[in-house]
Amino acid sequence: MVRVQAGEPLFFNDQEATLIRWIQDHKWLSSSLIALFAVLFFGGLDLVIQGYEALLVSSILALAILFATNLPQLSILLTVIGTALEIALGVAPVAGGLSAAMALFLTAAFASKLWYFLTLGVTIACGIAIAWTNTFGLALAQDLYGLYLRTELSRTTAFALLSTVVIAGNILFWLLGRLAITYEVFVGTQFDRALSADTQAKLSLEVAEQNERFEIARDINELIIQKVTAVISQAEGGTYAAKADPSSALRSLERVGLSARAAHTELRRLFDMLNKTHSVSAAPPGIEELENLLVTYREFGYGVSLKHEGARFNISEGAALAVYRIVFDALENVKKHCLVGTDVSIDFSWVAEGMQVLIKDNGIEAKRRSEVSFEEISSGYTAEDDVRALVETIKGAGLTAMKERAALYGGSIEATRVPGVGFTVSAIFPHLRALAGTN
Amino acid sequence: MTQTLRVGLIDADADIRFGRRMLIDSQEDCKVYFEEETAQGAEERAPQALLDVLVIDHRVRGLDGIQLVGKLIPLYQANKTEIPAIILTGPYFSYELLLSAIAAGATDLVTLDSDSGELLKAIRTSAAKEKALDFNSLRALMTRAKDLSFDRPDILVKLGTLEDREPDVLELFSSGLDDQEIANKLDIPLYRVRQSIKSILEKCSLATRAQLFLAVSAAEVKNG
Repeated sequence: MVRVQAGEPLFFNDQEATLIRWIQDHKWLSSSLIALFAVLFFGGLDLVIQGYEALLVSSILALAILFATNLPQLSILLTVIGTALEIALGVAPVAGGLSAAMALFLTAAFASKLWYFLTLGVTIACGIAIAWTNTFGLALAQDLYGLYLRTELSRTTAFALLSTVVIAGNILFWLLGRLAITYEVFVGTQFDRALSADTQAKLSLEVAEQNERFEIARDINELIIQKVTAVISQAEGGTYAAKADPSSALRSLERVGLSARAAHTELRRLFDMLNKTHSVSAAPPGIEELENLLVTYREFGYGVSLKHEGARFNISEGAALAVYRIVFDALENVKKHCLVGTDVSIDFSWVAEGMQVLIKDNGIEAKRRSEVSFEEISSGYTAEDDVRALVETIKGAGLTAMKERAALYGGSIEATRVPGVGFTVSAIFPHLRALAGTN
Repeated sequence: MTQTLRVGLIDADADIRFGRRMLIDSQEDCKVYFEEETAQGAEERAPQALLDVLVIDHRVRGLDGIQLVGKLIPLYQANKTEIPAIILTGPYFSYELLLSAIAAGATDLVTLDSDSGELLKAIRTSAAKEKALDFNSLRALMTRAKDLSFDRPDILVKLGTLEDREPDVLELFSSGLDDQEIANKLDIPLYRVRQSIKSILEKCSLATRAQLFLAVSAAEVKNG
C-alpha cells in the first residue's frame, strides 16, 4: 500500500545539497565561513604583498561578504568604505577586490531585484574608481606592480584594461549568482527531480486506487438506489392496494421489509468498503494539528482561540484523534449554525490524571447583535430562554458521535445552551492518563 | 363504464415490479397484463400483448430502457400493431434524461423524485397527451439540453418517401401548428391530417409526434 504523507521533506540530507542550498540552510554560518576564507586567503595575499594597510582594506571588503545575503545595504556600504579607504591609503589594487565580487555573487543570488542591481552598479563604480586612481591618479613614471606608466597613452591603455577587467569580472560574478539561484529554483538537483518523480508516481498510484474505489462505490450506490426504489415502489403500491383491499397490506409490508433489508445489505457493503481505507490515509491528526484547524476557521471568519492550562502530558494517537474529532465536530457545528464573526474559545485544562476541553461560542449573542436595530432595544434573552436552558436536552447525530468517541477513552460530553450567549460543549476525560497516557 | 387500460411492466427488479403491479392493479381503470424483466423477452412478447401503456424502467436486463424503446418501436411497426404509449421510469430527473426519453419515443418520464401517484397520472394521461403537442415546452426543453443530438441519419431518406399532401402537412406541423390549423390551411378534413401524420410517423419508424418534431428540427439544424 502506498503511503504519501503531507509535509514530507523534499530532500533528506546535506550530501545532496548544492552550494546555494548550503548557504540557504545555514544562513549566517555559511556567510561567516566564506567571509573568513576571504580574510585569510585574500587578506593574507595582500598582507604579504602590500602590508597591513592592504590587509585592513581586504578585511573590510571581506566583511561585505558576511552581510551580502541578509543585509545587502550594509554590504554595499562596506564595499564603498573599503574602496574609499583603499584610495585614501594609496595602496595598489588588492586581492581583496575579489571579495567584493563574491559579495556581488551572493547578493545577486539572494537579494531582491533593487538590491542586486544596485550592488552591481556600486561594485563596478568602485572598481572603476580604483582603476582611475591607479592610472590617472598616479604621477607619470610611478609604478603599478612594477609597471611603469611613462606616457599618457600607456596610462589610458592601463585604465581601459583595468576598467574592462572590472566591468567584465563583476558582470560575470553577478550573472553567475543569478544563474545559480535560477537553476536552484527552477531545476534543482537530480535528487530533487527523482524525489518529485517518485512522489508523483506514488500520488498517481494513490489516485488510481481511489478511482477504483470510487467506481466500486458508484456501482454499489446504483444498487442501493435500485433497492430503495423497490422499497418505495412496494410501500406506495401497498398503500394504494390497501385502500382497495385492506387484506393486502400485510403481504406488501412483508415484501417492503425484505426489500429494505436487501437495501441495507448493500449499504453495509458500501460502509465496509469506505471504511477499509485506513492503510492509505495520512497520519491521523492530533492535538497539535488543531492549530492548523484554527487557522482554517479564522479564514472562514470565526474568531477562534486555543488555550492550554495545566501540565500537558502525552496521549496515544487514538485518544489525540478522538479529541481532535470532538473539537472538529464542535467547530463544524459552529460553522453550520452561527454567523460569521462568532467567537469560539477552545480551552484545554490538564490536571494530574485527566483533561477537560471546553468549546464555547457566542453564536446567539452574535446573531442578536446583528439583528438589533435602532428602534428596539433587545434585552439579550428572555425568561423562556432561561427555562429552556435549564430543561432542554440538546440532541443530535453529531453529539451522539462525539459521545461515542469520548466514551472510548472514558470521557463524557455535555452540550449546554448559555442563554443569550451561545453554546458550550464540554468534553471531560477524568482518567485520560491511565487510559491513554504515553511517555 | 370506462374502458380498462392494459398496462405492461418491463423492469429488471422483481420487487419494483411487484410494487408497481400492486399500485396499478389497485386502480379500477387499469390493470397489468404483461410483465417482463429481460430486453429479449420484451422484444419477443410485448408486440403481441395488445397493450395501451407500456411502463419501461431504465433498468432492463440486457439493455437500458431508452435503447429498448428504440428497438421496440420498429418491431411494433413491423407487426402492424398499434404502438402503446410508452412511459419511462428512471432514478432521478434531469432534462437530458427527459429529452432522451422523448427522443427515443416515450411519451412521458416518471422519476423517483415524485411519488407513485405520478405514475398513475402519467398512465392515464399518456394516451391523451399525444393528441396535442406542446411545442413551446418542447422547444424550451431542447434549449435546456443543448448537448444532446437527435440527429437520425436516415431521416432525410425516409422523408423522401412521403407522398400526396404529407410533405405539406409535415412542413406545417414542424412550424408548430396543431391539426385543426393544418387542416384549415391546406383545406383538407381533420381526419386526413391525422392520417397523414400517422403515415409519416410510420414511414420514419417513429412512435410519437414529439419524436417527429425533434427529428425534423435536428435535421433542419444540420442541413440548414
